[in-house]
Amino acid sequence: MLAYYLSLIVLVPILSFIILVIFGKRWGDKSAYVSIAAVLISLGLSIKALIDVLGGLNTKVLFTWASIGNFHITFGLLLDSLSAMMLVVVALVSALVQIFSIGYMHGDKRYGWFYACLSMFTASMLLLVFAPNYVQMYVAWEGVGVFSYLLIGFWFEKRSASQAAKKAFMVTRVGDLGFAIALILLYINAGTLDMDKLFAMHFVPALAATISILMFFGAIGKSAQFPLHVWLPDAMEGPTPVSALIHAATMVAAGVYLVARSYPLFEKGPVSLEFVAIIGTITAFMAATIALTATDIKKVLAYSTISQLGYMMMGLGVGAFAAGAFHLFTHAFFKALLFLGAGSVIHAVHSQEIFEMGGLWKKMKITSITFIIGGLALAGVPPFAGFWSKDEIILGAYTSGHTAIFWIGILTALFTAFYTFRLIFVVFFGQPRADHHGGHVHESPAVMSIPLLILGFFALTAGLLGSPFVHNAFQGFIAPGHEAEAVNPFVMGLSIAVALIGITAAWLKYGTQVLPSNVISKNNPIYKLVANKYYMDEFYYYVLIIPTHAVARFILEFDQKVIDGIVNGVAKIIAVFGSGMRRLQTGYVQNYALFMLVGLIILIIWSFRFLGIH
Amino acid sequence: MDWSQVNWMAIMPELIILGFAVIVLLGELFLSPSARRSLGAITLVGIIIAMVGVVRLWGVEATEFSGMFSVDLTANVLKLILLITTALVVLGVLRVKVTLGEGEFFSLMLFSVLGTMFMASASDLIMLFIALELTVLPAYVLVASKKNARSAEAALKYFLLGIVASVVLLYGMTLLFGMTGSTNFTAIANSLHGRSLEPMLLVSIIMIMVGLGFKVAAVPFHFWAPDVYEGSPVPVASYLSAGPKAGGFAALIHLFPVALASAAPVWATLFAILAVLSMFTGNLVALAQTNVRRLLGYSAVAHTGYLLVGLAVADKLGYLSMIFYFFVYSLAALGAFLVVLATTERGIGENVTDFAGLHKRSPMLAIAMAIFLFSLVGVPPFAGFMGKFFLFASAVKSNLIWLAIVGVLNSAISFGYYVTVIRQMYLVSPESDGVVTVSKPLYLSIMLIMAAVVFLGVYPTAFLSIIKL
Repeated sequence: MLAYYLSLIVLVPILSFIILVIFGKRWGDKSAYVSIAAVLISLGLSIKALIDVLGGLNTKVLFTWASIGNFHITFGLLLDSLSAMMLVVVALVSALVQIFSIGYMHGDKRYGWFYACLSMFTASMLLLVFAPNYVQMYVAWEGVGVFSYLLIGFWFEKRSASQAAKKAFMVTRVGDLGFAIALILLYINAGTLDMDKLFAMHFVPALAATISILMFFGAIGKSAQFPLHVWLPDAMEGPTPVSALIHAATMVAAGVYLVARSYPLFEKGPVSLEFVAIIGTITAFMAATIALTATDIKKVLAYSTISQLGYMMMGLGVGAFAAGAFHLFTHAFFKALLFLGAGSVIHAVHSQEIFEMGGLWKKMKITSITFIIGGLALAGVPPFAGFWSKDEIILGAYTSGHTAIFWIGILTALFTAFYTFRLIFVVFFGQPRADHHGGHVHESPAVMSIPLLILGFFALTAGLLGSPFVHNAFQGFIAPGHEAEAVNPFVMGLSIAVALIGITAAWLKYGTQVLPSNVISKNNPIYKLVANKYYMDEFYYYVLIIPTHAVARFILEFDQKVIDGIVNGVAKIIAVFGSGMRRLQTGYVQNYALFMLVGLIILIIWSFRFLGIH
Repeated sequence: MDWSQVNWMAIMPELIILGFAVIVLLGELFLSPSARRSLGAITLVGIIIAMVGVVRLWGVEATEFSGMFSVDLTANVLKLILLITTALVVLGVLRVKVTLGEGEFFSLMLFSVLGTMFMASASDLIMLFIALELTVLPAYVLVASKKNARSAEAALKYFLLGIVASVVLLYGMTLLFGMTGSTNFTAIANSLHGRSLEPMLLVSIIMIMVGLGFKVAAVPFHFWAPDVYEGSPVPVASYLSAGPKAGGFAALIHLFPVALASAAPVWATLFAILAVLSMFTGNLVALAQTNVRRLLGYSAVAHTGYLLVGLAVADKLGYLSMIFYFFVYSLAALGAFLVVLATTERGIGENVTDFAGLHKRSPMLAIAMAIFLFSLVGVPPFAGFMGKFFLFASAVKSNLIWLAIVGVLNSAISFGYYVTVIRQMYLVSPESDGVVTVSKPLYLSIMLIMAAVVFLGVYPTAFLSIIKL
């Protein structure tokens, strides 16, 4: 019974994918209902699973996928508090995104295919969450990669979209290489890839750290950590609901989930956790500074995602395991909300440039209110969701003695509050800046606004589950061993203060024009550095892409002159052989009979000569 | 012989097929032409009942008729595979005009199936030989049934070469009988136990190998296959691509490991040679083919090569992998032939170029064909991949790494010709835009096979657990 309903969580979306691949074209707009029904079933079953886990269930169901003789290839469904929490988040966000997409994707000619991909994207992520061994984890990980590629490049007629999809796929691939090497090393050293067996084993710290860091490379790619974060802003080329799904619950969450899931392994080589913390901190800070200068609504949100993912890694790295997982949980809601809100805005004004918007507050009440709730959660204002989890992470850095990380975390929180409210003041308040669409702007239809309201509710309340008011119930659930830190008035006060300072500064500059618009000159070298995203894309272009092209050209020459020659030669030999053999097929039955008997005699002679019979 | 002691249950599936073969033949005689159309459906019912009979015998191990006939898991599995593929052929041709009268066509097919089932259960040389003849005699008639030059030529070649093969086989059996004084497999094994490898035994083994190698179209005894696959009526070619080979492989699995167990290293080496020859010849010659049916004929030869790897491995894992791959291969090959049947029914030619733009004229047929061909290449996630994986893995486990490498290399070569068909279907524009319509039963049969090929690739355990691998 248990095994059935758990496997249905994954199988139903897969079934929906199959149905939509076959019938999606014919059904057109109706395809959405199949996919949504499937994900709602998954959601219902996931909630049941979560309730079971709350009731004390902790289980692993194993299926033999293929077994012949002593070969066994198994896959399984691991259900514990971490996976149950993620299942619900993934299914819930996916369901809301899919409902929202009914409105957003209305009239698209590949509607069926869009929903087929969403179904399979969700199914891959659910399979990843369930993984009790690294083989399944890796397969699902790649599945997530493939379907994100298809979805980011969904509007592949647009060159930038197909380029972005390719970039996302290639960049994450670099990280996956590390992940694959880690798995090979694990298998060589431990002889198994089952998580529970691995976690119970003893590893030399240096080996464990090496493996963990290599594994973390996979997470760096997937979760867009420095220096492989460059794909995520470009991935905005996909439809906005896809961005919401990628940013909130699937794709990028996979990397954080991998680290959280493999935490016992990381703990065996503590150096690796320091590495995670440092990468997370750099990412959080750098992305937040870039977000200060971005002017595309989706890009601002994209950099905020990178920054928040950096926080999660920071939390995991400094040992605040539960806080990292908690932030993953709360972030899923408010980031999905912000993206869908941005989608609603883009749907209305047909632009992504924030300085072409303005004054939307009066025309789009639901979108505005929910977006502001999301913004408050992101900025870290109590009692909104993001506050509790981010505060826990910063507190973790403080109590574990990572002073530098703590202060950078605080500074990043200040930037976060500033750029978030810069966005809000510019987009929703003041006067409309571009008047060509002024008259047509209206609130989005109910299929779009209701998901916003639901997510708004969670963005407001999800954080309370882990707040001191309920004795950090969430943390106790996720990590019974890791005790939540007691409330530290200094840290909490500082964290609230910087959030309010950031919001006030944004208000002064963009809400009232009290601050002059040229506080920072656009020619300031630091401004230029940040606005150009630290020249990371340029760095990759000159250091990797140009040399690669040069090498590729050389190899092409080599290939055309040398390899091709060899291949053509071989092909020619095969062709000659093939037609020679064909000539044996003369069509004369006497010849055939003769060949058979010749074959018989040759076999007999050969056997007598070589099989030791005289 | 005391007939009251015979366990008739053991041959119930065979009796059912025999009964229906007679009924269908009589139906041809006594029914009105319009009523004869239902004979295909009756055949299908008979096959399904026989399947139930086989399933009821699951787990039974019995040897009856003075050791002539034995039932075991291998025999049951192969019979079931045979019945499933034959049922799919019959389903596919329900609304297709067959070349003979319906009654003749289906009863001949049932008699051939009957022979194959007896082959799977034969535990005695005489039984094996008679069953083999029963398998092929109706097949000769079926191949000739189109009554045109190509069909007649194919049938004549099949028949004449078949006789040569039978004679060689019979000669080999005679030698074996002369040495052991017995025709029963177990008695032969007991008699050979502990004896050194005598030249006469070796000659006998090779002669039997030639005879059975002909049935499964192993190189260099394969010459009939391309002509028959190309020349016989398409429904017949579909049947031949899957069903009768089950008998040949069943005989190989029963005769060699049981009766000739003491000479295992010798015949294992010989099978490895035949496997390599078949793989290379089949795949390389297929590269030069332009006719789809001929191409599939050579691909069948190549697949015999892959399957013989299981006998070269010569252990339980090898045989089981071979049975699994046989099932997987028969499904894909049968599916491809049924797609050819569907297109030729609508007057489309048999050349590779005639498949141009099929995906525009019939998207489902094109997808099905592409999946069958991918499965034949061994591309995941289709069934052919798992089949080849297990087969080559069994070779690696038995230290036949070189054979596994040859197999993988050949799979790579085979991609070269399968992909030309896929390229035509998807990348070349069609000469005519006419939609290709397919009769409902044929369409259903193709879809069932497609579903099975995907399902067995994604979840092979469904079948593996049944055959107790």
